[in-house]
Amino acid sequence: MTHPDTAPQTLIEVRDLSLAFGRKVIQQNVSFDLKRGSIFAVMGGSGCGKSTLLKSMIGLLRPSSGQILVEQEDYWAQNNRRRTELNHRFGVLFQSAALWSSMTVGENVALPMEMFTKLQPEVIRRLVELKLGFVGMEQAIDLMPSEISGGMRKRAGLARAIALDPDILFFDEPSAGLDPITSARLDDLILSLRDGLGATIVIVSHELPSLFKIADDGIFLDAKTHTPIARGAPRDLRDHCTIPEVMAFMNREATIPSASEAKG
Amino acid sequence: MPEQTGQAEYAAVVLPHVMTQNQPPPPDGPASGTPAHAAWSLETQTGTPVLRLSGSWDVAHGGMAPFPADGLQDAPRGQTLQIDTSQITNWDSAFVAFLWDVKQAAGHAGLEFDPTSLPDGAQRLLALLPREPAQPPAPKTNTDALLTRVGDATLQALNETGTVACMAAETTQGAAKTLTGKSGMRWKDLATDLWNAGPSALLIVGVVNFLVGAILAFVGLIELRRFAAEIYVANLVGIACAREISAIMTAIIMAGRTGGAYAARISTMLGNEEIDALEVFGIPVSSYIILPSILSLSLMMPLLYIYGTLIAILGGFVVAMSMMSASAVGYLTTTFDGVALHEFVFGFVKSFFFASFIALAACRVGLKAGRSAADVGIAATRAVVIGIVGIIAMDAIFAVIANALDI
Repeated sequence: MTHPDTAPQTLIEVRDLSLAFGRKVIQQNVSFDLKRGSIFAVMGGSGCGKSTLLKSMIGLLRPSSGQILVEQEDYWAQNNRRRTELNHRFGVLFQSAALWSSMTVGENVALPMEMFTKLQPEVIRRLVELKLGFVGMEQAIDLMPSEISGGMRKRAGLARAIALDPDILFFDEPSAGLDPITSARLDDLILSLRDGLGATIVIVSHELPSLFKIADDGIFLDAKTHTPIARGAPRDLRDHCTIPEVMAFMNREATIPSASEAKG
Repeated sequence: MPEQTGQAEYAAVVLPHVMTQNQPPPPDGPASGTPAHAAWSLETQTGTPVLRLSGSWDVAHGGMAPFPADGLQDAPRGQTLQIDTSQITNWDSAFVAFLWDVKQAAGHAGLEFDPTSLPDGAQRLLALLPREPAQPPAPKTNTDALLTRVGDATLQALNETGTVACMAAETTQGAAKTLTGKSGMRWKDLATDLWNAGPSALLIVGVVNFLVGAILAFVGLIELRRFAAEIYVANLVGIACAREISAIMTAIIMAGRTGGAYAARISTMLGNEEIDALEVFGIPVSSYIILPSILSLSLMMPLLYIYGTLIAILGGFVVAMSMMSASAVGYLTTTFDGVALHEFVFGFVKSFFFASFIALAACRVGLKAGRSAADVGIAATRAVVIGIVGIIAMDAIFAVIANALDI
């Protein structure tokens, strides 16, 4: 635990970010603050650029303009080495878990620790058991990723994401492909890890019940205008937002009400 | 007065309330600003056992003190273990790992573990963990008797032979149907595969065969010069390349290039559930993937062989022209007088069989592969190895047949 009292409240600041593939603009004018200890939801319809935004925050895609400030440090202005150092403070759970298929589950979790810490092998083994224990996967430590189910792979991916005790956890569609019970348990797990590890969490998801339950801040990206159109916690957006697209999304409506209906 | 500390070597009795450093500080004392090392001490003599923790319990500062599994055996049973964490400065998962050990040891010693005095975050994390770490299943050992293993291997080999034979039969059937336009194969796939197996391989086949022809001519010239039989180098290069070398070299190149690609592509499709999707729709995998692959390689490789042979002869010609005093026309005439047409036919037929074998083996290996990225690599390697070994073995069989038939 670092000292939360002395640390600044804003962990990541995104300023006027534009994302594009070549000349095709995905999102522009994206600005938001990521508060320490919050669970931040990135919402929006399919193809609006949620995952692309996530990719630019974890160093996989250079934004075409704008800044991402990690504790006042311009992330994309750093050289590769410094960026990799910053990345050690991030833990990422990929959409398909992305476990390395040639290693056992335990080796997957152990690899970052072997590469970036000077811990003894038996200490690493103990920590791997612990991380897998957090996600209820300690019995699968010696199995290969191909031998376990999709939900288990996700949990193992989460154990790997928290291997280096990261400050910030990024989740790309954590509950995609999970049954409702597993998905609800994952929500509890995310809350426990946030409180336990003191991590800040960025979550890209479509899973509305889960977003209403855990997220306390967020941004809504619009696919048509390629800009964010709403900010705030998902449950507040559901209850108070009057923007038709956001209302339709939050209430799972098949058609977007016209502006006049929304006002009336 | 039972007393234990975090340092195993200090098993001697120490006074209560003495906080012992887990690791001895450096001789000049800890520098100001560096957090103290993680340390713990245990008091069991007052009735309620108390575990006192101090220092910085995080991974970065090596704060991972092991707690012995029998560390709480001396405490009276049925008591509640008190944990005093007021002296710790920092903690992360190393701290939770230690507490997990303590909780297990408390369970073994019949003590109550009371987490309420711990920091909130640690309580939440500890609640996620199971009471006992599950024992991972014992590693599987192969204890079958030798006879069983030999039997298994034999059955597997027979099974595999049968499967490959079925695939070959299906492909032949499919090829026959293609002639009448009823195979269901998409012509676009065949065109793509034909392009990949043929024209796009011209450069590498050409370069390799040119150099092989040149090397043969060079070595041949030096030896034949001693007998003043230099002109026979034309026959040497021509016959060797047409009968054996161009056919084998081309087949080996294609086994590495196209066979490996087939196996990798099919096993990746397997991993992406593309093959499953085909099966559910009832689209036969044989006509959709395997038939165009095998057909295209079988059609293209004999042509590549002819091209390769001509290039090899050209390679020999270039070296011969630069090293001996014969006319270009004379050399070429000798070549085509010396190499009978049936040599080409022999090589052509061999190439066809090599190609069918490479494609069939690669497709089979791909379909049999596992579903992960590592398995794709294994499948590609295996396809190339089987392809090359098979080519050489088949060539030996062809040589025996040719000898028997006096070709």
